[in-house]
Amino acid sequence: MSNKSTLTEKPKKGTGPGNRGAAQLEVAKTIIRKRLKKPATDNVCACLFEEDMHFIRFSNNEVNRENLRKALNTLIVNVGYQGRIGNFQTNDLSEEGVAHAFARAYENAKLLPEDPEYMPAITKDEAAQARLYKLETHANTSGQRYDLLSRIFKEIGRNGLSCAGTLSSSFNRATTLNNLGVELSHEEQTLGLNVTAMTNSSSYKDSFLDTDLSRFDEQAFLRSLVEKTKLSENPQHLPPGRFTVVLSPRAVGELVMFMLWYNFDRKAIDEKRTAIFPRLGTRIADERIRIHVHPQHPDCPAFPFSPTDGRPAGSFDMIKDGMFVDGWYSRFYEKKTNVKEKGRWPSNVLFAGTDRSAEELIANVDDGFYVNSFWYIRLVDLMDGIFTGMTRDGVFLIKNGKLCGSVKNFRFNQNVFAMLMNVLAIGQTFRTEYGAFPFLTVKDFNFVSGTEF
Amino acid sequence: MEKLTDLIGYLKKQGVRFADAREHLFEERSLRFEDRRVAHLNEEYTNGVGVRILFGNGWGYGSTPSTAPGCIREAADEALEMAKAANARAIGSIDLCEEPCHIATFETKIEEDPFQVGVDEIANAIITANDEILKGKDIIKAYGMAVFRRMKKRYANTEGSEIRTTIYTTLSEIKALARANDEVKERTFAPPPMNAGYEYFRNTDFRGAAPRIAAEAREHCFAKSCEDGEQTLILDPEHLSLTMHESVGHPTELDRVLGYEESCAGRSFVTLDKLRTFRYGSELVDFVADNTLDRGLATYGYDDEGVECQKWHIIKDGIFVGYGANREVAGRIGLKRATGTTRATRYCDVPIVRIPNLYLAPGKKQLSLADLIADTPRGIYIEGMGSFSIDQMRLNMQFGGDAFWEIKDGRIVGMLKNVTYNAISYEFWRKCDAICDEREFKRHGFISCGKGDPMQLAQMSHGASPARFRNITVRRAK
Repeated sequence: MSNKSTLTEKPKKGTGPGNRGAAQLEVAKTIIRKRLKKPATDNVCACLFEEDMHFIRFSNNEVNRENLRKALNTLIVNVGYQGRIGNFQTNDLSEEGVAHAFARAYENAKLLPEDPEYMPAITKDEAAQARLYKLETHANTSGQRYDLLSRIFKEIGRNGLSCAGTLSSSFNRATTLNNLGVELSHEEQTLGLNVTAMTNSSSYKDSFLDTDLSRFDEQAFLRSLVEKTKLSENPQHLPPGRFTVVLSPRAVGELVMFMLWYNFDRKAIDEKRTAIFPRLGTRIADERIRIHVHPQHPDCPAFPFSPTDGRPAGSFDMIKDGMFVDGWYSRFYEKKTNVKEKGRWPSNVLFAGTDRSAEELIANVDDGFYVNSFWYIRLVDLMDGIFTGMTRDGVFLIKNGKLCGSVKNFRFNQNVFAMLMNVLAIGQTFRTEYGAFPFLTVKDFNFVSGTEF
Repeated sequence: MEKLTDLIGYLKKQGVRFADAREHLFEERSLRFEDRRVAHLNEEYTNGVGVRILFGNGWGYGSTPSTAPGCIREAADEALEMAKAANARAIGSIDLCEEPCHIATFETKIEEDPFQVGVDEIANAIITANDEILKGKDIIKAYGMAVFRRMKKRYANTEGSEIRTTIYTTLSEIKALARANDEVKERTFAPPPMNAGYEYFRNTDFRGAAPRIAAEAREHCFAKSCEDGEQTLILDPEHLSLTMHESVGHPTELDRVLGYEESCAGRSFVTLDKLRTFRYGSELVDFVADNTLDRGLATYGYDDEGVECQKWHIIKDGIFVGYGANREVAGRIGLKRATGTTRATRYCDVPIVRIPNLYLAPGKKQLSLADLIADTPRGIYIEGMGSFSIDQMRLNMQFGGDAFWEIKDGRIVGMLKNVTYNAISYEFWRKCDAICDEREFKRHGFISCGKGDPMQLAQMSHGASPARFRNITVRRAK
């Protein structure tokens, strides 16, 4: 995993997805601006999402049926009326379609019961707090993408393996406008490569997520993928139990995001219905742990505002020095509790790391496992913070500080707060689908059963 | 339809082996409730055309939100370009199963269109029920949900099929959250989702169910913990719908078995060598796939590759006998026809094999739920759905539930908490030793089954009579 992004003020335009239907979208924006100048009420907000993606899925070393271009532009209109918010979402961006969306949202608002958590439109002053930025982007062509896949298939096949995965190049832009003159826009262009390589008895997965294909070290990626996949072959069956594990950033992200999602809504904490409430004022993680939100962080940039209403995304700590600091807030709850500059939910999640490599973490484990990823994580007990799930695509045995073969997958039932308290070492951070997370060494990780592969 | 058939004519001239075009309107009204407020309303209108092309041995899929002929042509040309690129890298061959040409129309029978009903009426039904929930002792929250869908499709392919379908779907639930005894527990009332109109929602007694779920949510907080060990379980139809979905529905999707879903949803332990030989369950276990089921969530008349919906066995007398398959993969197991269960969520999504309407056939011997409990000296009766997780080959599964009732000496004696059970899927079905008869049969189902990459959400019905399973590993969720 190697995914660093660079923030810059001037984007470079490319030839990939992102330009389709641009003229039609500009017409739609003009229609929307016109409607917002004569709003039906004092609270009308329109958000235009643009999604354009070339997505290539592959399996058995060839491109399969999900080889597609997806262009989906969506307008979401929210209209406030006497303490109610009505909504309509459409991909019909014709003049009639836009008019219908505004009218229908207004009609819905009039019919709904009054909402005690109703909030007025974001003002220009509030929206100005959003720290807008632009990402440097380097587009790639569909020819480059198919050619990259051809080389991957060839190398995987040459090593007697097969592979499945996805290669996607996507452009997303959100533009939020309201009747108070707010107009915010942010765009992202990303390239994602996920490859699961397989032997007859095992699998191993690796990913590359970035804005720029030229930063992809193809040879190193494939060398590591092939080596680890071969190491995963013929996994041993070992009984479950409590073990020291080194978790990959992907695995850490998957589990920590579930924990955050269920527990860090500030209103739910104050209503005593999350696992954080009984732990307020106590240590919930090892004192080295910091988990925070920072939309402009160069390792993991995120949307600087909430597209649905233009609310600026805040930077804040959730866990610092192992202690709970704060959760996220709705606009209503932020106002009610007189809190500023928090987000509705984390725009990104940053789990602070160190400069220690995965190899260093593994070298300090005498007897344990390296877990490459988890799968199908679900909440088991809310107030105890227990989650279940399976390991997937690579569980390696660690003996005397070295990876030495693989084992069959395990199911875990793990108290995530206990896991964060049991951290032995924190390693380098990498960008994942969920944010930026580090390698972690954790003791007493609770595997409760096994499976057949 | 003319725009689609014109396009198909154009594509035939481009030398494609097969192509289909689907104009697909997806409309959804979704309301989520928190206590006495509508916490979220989303009303969606998404329309467009998707074009799927097989050129040589490569697929390509293009889509456009516009129904203008020029835009559809542009999407088709992109799909053709992608199909050619895939064909240039293909190592296998693609042979589509034959399907008769259909000129047909199919519509869900409804009495009331939910999109003609004001959101105030929908909101009132749930908020009235939530009011009742909030009167319950130790209740701290009431939730609710109401979702209505209308999907209109026009389909044409290079083999001459022209199909029009209109589908309506209704889903709803209410939920009570109690806090007491240092616990926070919930209880849900969820009528089976159906392909039905607003009349189905209107006739559901949410308010009547509210006091019971409020009381049971509180009771759950004071329940004793279950004991670890091997136990006898009786599972209700709603709970079984989730168990069968994960451990029978997904593993018998043939595209998964052949590796198409490896990178995301995963593969399956039900490999081709197991067809017609593998003991999947006890002799009592029959699983029937039926996309012709009245008001079934996957009852579409015709699927999204123009195949007529059908009924077939997945498991018969405990033996695995059939997969769900599309036209591309059906031939690989010798099927002459796909099973008619290939669907896409919106116009921009590629149709993929989805779980059909799937049910556990009722027991053939007369047996009520009361009889079954009376016949169980010690065990746990599980109602509703809770935590669920299964590995990517669909073997190691773990489930919780919504309510757990202790059975002693053939009677329910109280509630339990923190129950999860864990099994290897086929071993679990082999331990089924009793299924209640058809009088106890109930439906349930899902409208947000995730599969595909990019992820799509599909809908399908399930059903069962309560069934008993012996010697299942139960573990306290602590």
